[in-house]
Order: sequence, then C-alpha cells, then structure tokens
Amino acid sequence: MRISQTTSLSKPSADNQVPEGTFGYFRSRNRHRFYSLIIREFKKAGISQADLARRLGKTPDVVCRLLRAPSNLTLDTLSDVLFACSGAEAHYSIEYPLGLAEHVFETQVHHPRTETAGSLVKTCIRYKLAGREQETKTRPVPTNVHLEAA
Amino acid sequence: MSIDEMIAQRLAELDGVSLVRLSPIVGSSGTRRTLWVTEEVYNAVEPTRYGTWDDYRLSEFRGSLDAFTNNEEVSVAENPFNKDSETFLARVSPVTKELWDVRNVTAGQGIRCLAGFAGYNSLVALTWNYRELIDDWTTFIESGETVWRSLFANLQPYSGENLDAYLSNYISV
Repeated sequence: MRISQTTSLSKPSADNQVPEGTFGYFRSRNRHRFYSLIIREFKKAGISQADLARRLGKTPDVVCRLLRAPSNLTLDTLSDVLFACSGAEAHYSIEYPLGLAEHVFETQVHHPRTETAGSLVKTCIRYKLAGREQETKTRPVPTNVHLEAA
Repeated sequence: MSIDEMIAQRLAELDGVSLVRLSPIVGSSGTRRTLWVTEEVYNAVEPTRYGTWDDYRLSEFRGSLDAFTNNEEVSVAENPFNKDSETFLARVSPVTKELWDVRNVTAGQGIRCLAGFAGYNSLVALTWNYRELIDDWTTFIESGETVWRSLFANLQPYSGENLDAYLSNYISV
C-alpha cells in the first residue's frame, strides 16, 4: 500500500457554487487563526485570565471560554479582547491562498499600481448575477487599495 | 540508539507506505509541526467530496489539523480527568499509553482522533470517529493502541516530562 497526497481545494470559478466543504475548511482555518491571535496577545501581555476578565468587565467564566478553544467570535469580541490584552488591534489584509477566483464576468481594470496617485480607475464590469446582467458605473478607487475585480 | 531515534527511524520506513506526512492545504509562514496520518485518517480528511454533512464536518476537521501543522496556538489538557470540554488536544486515560485525543468540538459536529507523539511537535494520527459514534471509550482507545503497535511494534509513543516537551504554541486548559 502506498499513500500519495492529492489534496486540493478549488478556488471559486465562474458561477459555480462553492462547495460547503470548502467553506467549512476556511471557516475552521480562520477560527484557529483568530484564536491564535488572541492567545499570542494574551501570552505576550503577561496578564492573568482574571486580569483580562476585569479589563473586559466580564466574568472569569467568559474569559475562560474565550481562551479554551477557537470559536465563532464576533468582530466586536475580537476587537475587545485584543484591545483589553495590550491595546492591540488586528491588522487586516487580503490574500488569495488558492489564487484569485476565476470570474464569470468580463472586466477591464487598470491596476492601481500602474496608476498615478489620485487618478481614477476606470472599471467597467459586466457580470452575471442570478441569471441577469448588471453593469457598474465608473468609480474612483483610492490608489492604496488593491482592486481585484471582486 | 535512543527511543526517539528509533521512532524517527521507523517513521522514515513508514513514510509514504503506512503513514503520510500531512501537509496543510493552505500553509502559513513560521515553524511547522509535523502531522503523520494513517491511511484511515488520510482518507477521512482528503476533501475531494463535498456534498454531504459528513463531508462538511471532515473539511472542518481538516482545517483544525492544518492549524496544528501550521503551528497555530492550541489548547491542551494534560489531565484526562480534568479537561475542558472544548480542549483541542487532550491526553487520554491511562496516561501511560501516551495517547492523545485530537478533538474537533464545533457544536453538533464533534470528531475525535487518537494520536501519539513521535517526538517534539511531531504527532501521529492513528484512528478517528465521529463523537456520537463512540460508545465505548475503552474500545476506541484500544483501537488506537492497536494501530500504534501495528506501525511501531514495541516502541512506545514519545513521552515528555511536561507539555513543553511535547509541543510549541499551546495553552494549558
């Protein structure tokens, strides 16, 4: 018997429904990543669970529950816990672990990196949504934002 | 040759034959832990089937396993009789067997996977089942022990003096 790894998840494509299993994988992955953010910041702060509970104005039970396992945290809870630990705030960015989705719509985008500061990015997107076509208007895009035709 | 070295040597013999080193589907930077899985576990977490509720549960579980290999923080319980219900990694009784329960505890979709450490940050996932299907824990633990023996014969799983000897990035609960 030999085992070879063939695992792969598919990036979104065309108008195909993303499999629930794929959503499940990324939900789990992100719960763990947010959990790690909290635990690392909690450890770095060097405070006790009781201290954190007092800072949050919560009971120790609530803090214990937050620290014991990854969970489906609200953004407010994440914000409160990180700030209460050390005055921290999560840093946000976007990445494409499976690559950028294959879009069903046609798009013409001038990438912001090729634009001069303050310029308008002309975007004309035609896409299919629930069987009908919509058309967006030209819109200004700040040059410090990645425009990924999403 | 130390026990650890003998386990490492045996792992090298089993690599790709009876065990596979599970790489995360999506990786992250940083030092990674190693997760070896049996064919049984591998077939469960290989997410090529997407249609059923079970597939969803297993995909979530794969996400948890990948969090382990990606060296994310995990909660660990050393005492089998005093552990939080949602602990990620819990030692099972009797502790002399050195078997650990890798747990997916999302409400309504629990999965349990028995594993033994092969060294620091190196875990061998042996067998698994849906939580609701495990009626007899003794039998389940014995099945994990049987798989370990089938792979490593008379070599016992890695044993450390405290949790720091087993893994990095953990919180004891």
